[in-house]
This record gives sequence, C-alpha cells and structure tokens, in this order.
Amino acid sequence: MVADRVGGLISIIFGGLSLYEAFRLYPTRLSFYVGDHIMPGVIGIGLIVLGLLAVFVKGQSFKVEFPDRQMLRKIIGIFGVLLGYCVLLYFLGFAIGTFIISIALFRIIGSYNFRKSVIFSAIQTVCVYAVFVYWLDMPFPAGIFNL
Amino acid sequence: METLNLLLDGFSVALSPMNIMMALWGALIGTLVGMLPGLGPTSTIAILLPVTTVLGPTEGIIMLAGIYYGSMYGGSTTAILLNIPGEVSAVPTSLDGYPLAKQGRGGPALGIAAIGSFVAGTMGVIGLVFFAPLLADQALKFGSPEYFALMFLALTVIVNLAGASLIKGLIMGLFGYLLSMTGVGLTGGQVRFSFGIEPLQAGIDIISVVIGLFAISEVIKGMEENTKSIAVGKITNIYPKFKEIRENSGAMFRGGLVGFFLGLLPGCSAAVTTFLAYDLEKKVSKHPERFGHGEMKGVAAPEAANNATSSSGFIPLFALGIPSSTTLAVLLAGFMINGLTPGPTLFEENGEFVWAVIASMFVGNVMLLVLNLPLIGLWAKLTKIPYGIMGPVILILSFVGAYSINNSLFDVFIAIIFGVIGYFLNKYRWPVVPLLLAFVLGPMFEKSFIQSMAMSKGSFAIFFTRPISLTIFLLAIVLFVLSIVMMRRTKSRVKDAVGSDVEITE
Repeated sequence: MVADRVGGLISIIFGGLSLYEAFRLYPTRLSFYVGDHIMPGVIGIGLIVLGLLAVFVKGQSFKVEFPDRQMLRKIIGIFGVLLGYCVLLYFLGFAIGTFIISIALFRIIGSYNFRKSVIFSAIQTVCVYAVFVYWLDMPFPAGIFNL
Repeated sequence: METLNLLLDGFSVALSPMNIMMALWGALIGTLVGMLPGLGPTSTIAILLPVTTVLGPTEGIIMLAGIYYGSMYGGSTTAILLNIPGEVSAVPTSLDGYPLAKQGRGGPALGIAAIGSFVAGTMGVIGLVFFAPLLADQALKFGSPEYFALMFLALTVIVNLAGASLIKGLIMGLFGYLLSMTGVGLTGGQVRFSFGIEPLQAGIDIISVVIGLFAISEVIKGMEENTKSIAVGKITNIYPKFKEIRENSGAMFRGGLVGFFLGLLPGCSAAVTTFLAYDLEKKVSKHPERFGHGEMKGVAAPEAANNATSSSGFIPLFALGIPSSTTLAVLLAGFMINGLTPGPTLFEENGEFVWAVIASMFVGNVMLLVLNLPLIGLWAKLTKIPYGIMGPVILILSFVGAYSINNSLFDVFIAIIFGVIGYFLNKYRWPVVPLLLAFVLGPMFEKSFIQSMAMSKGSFAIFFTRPISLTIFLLAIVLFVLSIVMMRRTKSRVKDAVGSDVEITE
C-alpha cells in the first residue's frame, strides 16, 4: 500500500535524524555504550531498518475513506479555530477567548444557529471559568481587558 | 498484620471529606465517560491530569483512579441495553446482555453487571493490598540490569498492541521512544532533538501528546462518523432478585479470578480476560447452549473479569512502575507530574499516599455500587446529549488541560499537532498505543540500560549472568509467546462475535 510506503519513508527520515543526533552527541560519551548518544543511535538504526521493511514488504491492503469536502472544511476549520484560540487567549484573555472560540466550535461541530451557539458558549464559558479559575485557581492569561 | 495496619491508616486518609469527594467525582466521571461515545478514560485522565497538580497528589490520583475503574462500570450499560460495546472488552457482555435486554431483563442484567463488577473489583483491590507490597519488597533487590529486563518485558506489550501490522507497531513504538528523548539527555545532560527550537529543550510533555492523539483526534473522528447521541430508553427494575445474585455468584468469582491473575501479565488486557472468562463460564456451565441467547452468567463473568483486570493492573504499576494498559500509562505520567515514582520505593517513600489510594479504591467501588444502580436512569438521560455539544466541550477541556500542564501555549500547540497526526494515523491504521507506551517507558529503559553498561564496563553478559535478570528475560520470552497466542485467540473470538476484524488496542 502506498500510504505504508510513505510511512516507511517518514520512518527512515526520522531514523536519519536520530542517527544524526547520535553522531553529534558521540564526542560527549563516557564510553561507547554510556552516553546520551547510545539510544538515539539504536532508535535511529531501528527506524531505518523498519522503515525499509515498510517500504518493501507488501502490507495489508485496505481502502481509506476521507470525508466529503464540506466535512473536510469543517475539520480544517476546527484545527484553525484551535490555533486561533492560542492567539485569542493571549490577547483577549481566558474568559473572552473561550467564549468566542466556543461559539465557533458549536457552530462548526453542532451546526447550531448563532443564537443557540452564543447561549451554549456562554454556559460553557461560565462553567469552565468557575471550575478552573475560581475553584482550582489555575493561572490563565487575562488579556488586554484583564478578565 | 502490618499490611492491614497500613491499610487502616490508608482508610483514615481516604475517608477524609475531600478524598471521599474526589473518589465520588472520579467514580461518577468514569461511569459517564464509560457510557458516552467520543471520550474514553485515557483521554479523560489526560485532560484532567494537570488538575491534579492543583489538588495535591493524593486527592488527584484518587480521582483519576476513580475515573479508571468507574469507566469499567459505565461501559457495560450501552453494551447491554444497545448492543454497543464501547470497548472490545465489553463485547462478551453484549453477547448475552443485549438478548437479556430484548427479553425485558435489561435492568436486572445491569444490576448483575454492577454487582459482579463490585465483587471482582473488591477482590482485585484485596489482591492489590497483599500482592503489591510483596512484589515491591522483592523488587527492592533489583538493580539496573533487572530493571532493564523488566522494561524489556513491559515493552513486549507493544508487539501485542501493534494491530494488524507488526512493522507499523514497532515503528510507532520507536517513534514514541524518540519523542521521549527530546530534551536533556539522562546521562550527560546534553540537549537532544531540539534542533535549536527553545521550547523543545524542556522536552515534549506526554500529556499534550495523549490529549492530541486520544481526545482531539477522537472528536474529529466522532464528527466525521456523525456520532449520534444514544438513547437507551426507560429502564425499570434494575435490582436483580437475591436468587439471581446467588446463582451468578460463582460466575462472578471465577470471572474475577481469571481477570485478576491474567491481568497481572503485561499485554493481557481486559479484552483478552473478558473473552477467556466468558468462554470458561460457558465451559463449566450445565447449559452452554443458553450462552448467546440471554444467559445472566454470560454477563456476570466478563464484567467481573473486566473490573478485576483493571484492579490487578495497579499491582505492576505500584510495585514495579510498569503500566499494563494505555490508561495506566497515562496514570503513570500523572504520578510523575506529582513527583512520585511508581516502583518498589513507592511503598517506602510514599506509603501514606499509596495506601490512601488503595483504600480509596474500596471506597470508590462501594460508591459505584450504591450510586450507580439508582442513578442508571440519570446516566441514560445523559447519553442523550448531542455530539454537537459534547465535541466543543471536549475540545475546550482538551485545550485547557494541555495549557495547564506548564501554563504554556507550546504544550497546546503540541496537542493540536498530535491531534492532526492522530487523525491521519487512525485513517491509515498506524497504532498509537505502542507510541504511548514507549514514550512512558523509554526514559526508564534508557536509564537502566546505561547504568547496567556502566556497571559492567560495556559487557552485555551482565543481563544474563544475574539470576533475577535472566529469569525476567526468560519470562519475557514466555509471556511474549503466550500473549501472542492469547491475542490471536481473542481476535478470532471478536471476529466470531462482531462479524469483522477489530483491532484490539487496549
């Protein structure tokens, strides 16, 4: 299967990286088997050998089904929203960031209308804020509004 | 006698209001995630792990352990009432549970499942009380070569959890090991695999990886599969008759024993023990023809085995620091986050903590029995929550969980990246469990190997000239063969039961 071969190639690349690290660290060793280089070396060789096997050995054949375009857009949207959360959390703080991101997630995953999404999002934000900030006293960025 | 005194001391800690509340929360959350689609105990524990650093180690681990064994209870409900076994280990329960539900005896079947779980769970914890300190005491004699042999034994589990392709499983294991090496090296203190990226110098946190692989990618999978909320309908009369309990007590006991003793072996997951318990019950039954058509013993035995396996898994975890399942591997990470090192010294250095956790398991099992039967109606209602609500809640909790590890957005970024990777790994059937186990065990494997090599001045003979080390290596080979045979048998049984090949990854 092509995907397995691609996986095998990725394994060989990681194996190469691991061997590179082993060679880089080799001068700092205490002995041949004692040092930070030994396991990267072993793992590197292992990944390359197994990667080659994955490339050349005929594996199990199966059909991989990907979702339709609309669903694919939704999935990419979710990852985009989560990355956006990182930015919003930093600038707008935990409460506002969570509220805005939750609206987007309810819209994308649940396909709820805007009004419902705002209501669900408000409930979720209050619950999460109450548990993690008030009760557990976990530190989150307060953002420019200091919320 | 000393063990009992220590256990009583453990009860004095476990019965404090805060710890009772934590056990209760753990048991309830566990039951809920056991029933709900899209969120398993592994991802739940990973998401809530950072919370334990705020709560304190004893309270936190009591809650997480409660989630673990609580989820075993929860899994039976959908298996019995809807013929939807959330995990492979719940398949045997559904074989007779669902026919019983169709005959209008779903309530008593749930009752027997809960009582069987309680009996076996308690048996398992009693075993834990007596076996774990004994094993830990013996393990105090272990040096680095013995530990290396032990890690080798533990890593043989990967072969079993490799799914359809051994090559893919091994690559994933090595990849997990490579990830665990990111950061400062164990011997020379050299920074490895950071490639000039500053946040990588502190290493990759396992919790971020678990949240990405198990929680985020699971939400995407659920969304793609258009996971529907499940309605289990109205359940009446959940309390089985005393006669039924008496008739099934033997099945519970046998299932508990099978689950407990086989659960001690690395790689012998609940999926294996539940099928073995079911088949054993069928063999000893005077009416084997009733199995598959609504035989109560066919529910009691696998449910008992399931819970006994989950309890006995704590023995190698506490005594040797070896997780025998994915969920326990995440729990092991929880110990480490709290500055605790599972293994032989745990009982000596953190005795109060470990006995409190063990005592809390008795408390949690009682809570599950007392609360779950009357609450079955409520659980049934909660399963109706639409996935459109569940998904965003899981994602926000995943984000908060990943951020809380080090209050760093880098950990969140790692979780998101592994969410994407997990999605593709799942699509192309690359197993993620070997990655996780190797990630957790990797540092211990490396440390014990390097210390052994330093002791022997580079001679590998050290592993085969010390009796305990040699015995463990031989045991690893025997277990390796045995577990492959048992896993093949289980796969074939699962295929018989569900009609298609199912990858056993727990």
